[in-house]
Amino acid sequence: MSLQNIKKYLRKDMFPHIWCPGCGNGIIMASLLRAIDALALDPDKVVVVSGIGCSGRISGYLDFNTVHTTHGRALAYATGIKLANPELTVIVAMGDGDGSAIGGNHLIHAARRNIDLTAILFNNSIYGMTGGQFSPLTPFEKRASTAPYGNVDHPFDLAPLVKSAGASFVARTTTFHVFNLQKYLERGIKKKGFSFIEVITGCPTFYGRYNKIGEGLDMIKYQKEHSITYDRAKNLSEEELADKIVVGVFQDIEKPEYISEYEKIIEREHHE
Amino acid sequence: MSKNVRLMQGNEALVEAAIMAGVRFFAGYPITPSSEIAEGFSKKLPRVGGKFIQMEDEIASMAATIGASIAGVKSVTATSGPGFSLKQENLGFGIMAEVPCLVVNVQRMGPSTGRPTKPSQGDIMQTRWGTHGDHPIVVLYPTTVPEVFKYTIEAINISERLRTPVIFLMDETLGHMREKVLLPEPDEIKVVNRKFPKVGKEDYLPYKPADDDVPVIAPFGKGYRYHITGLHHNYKGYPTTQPEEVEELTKRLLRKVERVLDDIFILNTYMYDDAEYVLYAYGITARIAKEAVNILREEGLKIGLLNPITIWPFHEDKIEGLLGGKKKVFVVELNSGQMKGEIERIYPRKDVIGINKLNAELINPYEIADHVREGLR
Amino acid sequence: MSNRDRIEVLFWGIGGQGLVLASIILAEAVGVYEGKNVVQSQAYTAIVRGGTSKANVIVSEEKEILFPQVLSPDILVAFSQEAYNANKGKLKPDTKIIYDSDMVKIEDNVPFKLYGIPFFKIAREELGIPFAGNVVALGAFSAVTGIVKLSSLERALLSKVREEYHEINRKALERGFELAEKLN
Repeated sequence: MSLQNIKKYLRKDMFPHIWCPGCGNGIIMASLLRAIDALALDPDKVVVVSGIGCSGRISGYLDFNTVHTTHGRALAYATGIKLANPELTVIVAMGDGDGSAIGGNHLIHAARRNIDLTAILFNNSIYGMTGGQFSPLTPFEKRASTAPYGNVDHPFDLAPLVKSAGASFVARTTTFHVFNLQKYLERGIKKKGFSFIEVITGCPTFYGRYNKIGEGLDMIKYQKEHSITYDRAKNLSEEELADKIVVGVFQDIEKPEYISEYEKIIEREHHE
Repeated sequence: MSKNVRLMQGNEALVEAAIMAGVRFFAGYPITPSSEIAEGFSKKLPRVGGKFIQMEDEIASMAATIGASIAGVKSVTATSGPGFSLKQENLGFGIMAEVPCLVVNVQRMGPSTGRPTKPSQGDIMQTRWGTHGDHPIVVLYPTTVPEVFKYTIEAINISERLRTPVIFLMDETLGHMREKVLLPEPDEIKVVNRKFPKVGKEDYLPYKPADDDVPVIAPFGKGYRYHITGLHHNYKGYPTTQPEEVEELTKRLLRKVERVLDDIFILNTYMYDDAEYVLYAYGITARIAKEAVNILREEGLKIGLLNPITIWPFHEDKIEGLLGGKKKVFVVELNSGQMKGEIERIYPRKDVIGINKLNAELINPYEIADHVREGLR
Repeated sequence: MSNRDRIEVLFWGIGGQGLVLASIILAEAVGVYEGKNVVQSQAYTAIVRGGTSKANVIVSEEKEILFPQVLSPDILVAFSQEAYNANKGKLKPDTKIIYDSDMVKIEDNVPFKLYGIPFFKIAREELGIPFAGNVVALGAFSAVTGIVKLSSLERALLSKVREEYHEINRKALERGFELAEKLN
């Protein structure tokens, strides 16, 4: 895939980036830029808000209006930005620890509120930047620097969780499925309401090494081999789905969006 | 009486003043004794085209408040002790990223859940050092409901001018009590708005300070695309690890407040010039201490009141000058002596006497007078 | 405070009697409509309904009111037996007690000035608005204390109630005033 059309969105003076060789984050970043390019968004009106962790650095690399916030709080900052200026397209990048542990409350409430944000959760199943600790999305029995004997925590199945919390659009895919990834991002950005795209991405440095999956390419192969579509997964048992990654669109509905509803109140009550 | 005289709670006066100062965004979470502020904004903001949001927690409220200000809208959040504790990390982000906003803390007694419906002044040091790292802070704490109105506008103006969050302290009594407020006409008040960049988009360096050490940071969406981070950063706003850039940023943040200290340090005095003894008090206790001055003056004691409205930064030079030649200082606080320690840094320790109350009740003027008499025995 | 230009009013009763609202109406009447200095405050508790309810109003003609709470009430408005029992030790000999005579019993031979009227019974039986005992009491307050005009109370009160209730509220105020005048 060519980078030709998306290089213009990068802050070249911020490179080289901090991500490890074989890390999947660059694939997600490129897919996001292709989606923005395909939608022909005005860069002056695009905001990218990120949290803390490896994924959090994405905001610095992109030539939009960008904020690298505090750990877990990107959605809350984004809520303030979008509500204060609804003409901005606000995209939120989070990691799995960032978005589902310390920021988990903000995630379910942003979904419940159905505010018009597009949240991308980079799920590499581990805390990368701090050295490979397990996260709420590390699978059961997998290893991490704080789970040297295997993880006894059970992971969230995050996409269905965000769906039941009330999001308008929910999808999950992997860094192997780059075409789907771009399409889901486009659909998420276009959707009026809260959109959530969970992307399974490889961390060869920690997750791959601790769990003997291998290098970056091996991890992408793993994603390919273990993925199963949402429709096919419906007919499978829990055991059959044990090591599967269910990918696809979990939710795509129209429902009242928070800011539009609030603006109706302003329209009624504004007398200044 | 003028039709513009209204009986208002401190919490209501804050809402009225903030809207008059141009605030159009509030994010908050319910907590006693500050909830009337959220209620007031939820009712009034849509009427002036503004936005109110009740967030999922205190942390998110602080974050959304900063977010709205990044988008260029003057914003406020309000809470009390437990919530103020939760807001600290994002408050630090606001200071580091230089985002103006007003953070209101209507104090209740702590630690922990404490005495939620009762007054205290236990958060004095938390307002100064609550968030981690060396940082500047501006904290205003009025003594009456009319002052809540007046200094809310002042606090928002300082925040806009210095591009830093300003903390507005109240306490349960001040937040809930009702007094008369003379509402000014909009053209009778001075409103400061943050500066907008004058340079072209190509040459734009969002974090390059102007002559006053304050950078001119554009609101999002106006074509000045740039990066904001809580990491130490250079003029571009990009993260830096260069020791000299790290040091310069840290020092500049402190300097931009220090250099305007004379401007932002608000201090009221009462019966002060000929006073031999001093009551140093702030917030709700300052007005009570003023009554104690009246009582003691009637007995012939030459005592006066120093009442800082700007409790932080602590203007050492000015206070040291004012205390020069006085015989003793009594520091009246509804805490165990948080501000007393500051006075002791600039004044002989043996002549600083704390008058403190820790039972979640107001101190009364006769109690203060008794303590003074005892201290002079 | 020895040079007294300060009248301390303590309202004390049970949550739901409208006593806090009465204190706010009084404060607005003397402050906004009569130009006096005034401070109103109320006790907050975790009990939303029922439980003890208290409010303070301090009035001064000229002086700035510095201490915002009641130290020793000049006037006690008592809507519960507890209101009297809990405060009688703090009252001055000339304290005026305006109380609901159905709810509060006061022993004989006390030095205080007593004004007992069955406010809530009058509201319920004469006026048909059982919750307006607080308004009847405010009318009585004006007659007994002279620190607020009935017309000021009426303005403050009517600014807070819907127009359809103006007439009945006016009547409740006047009835309280009349009854208290007879006691004066």
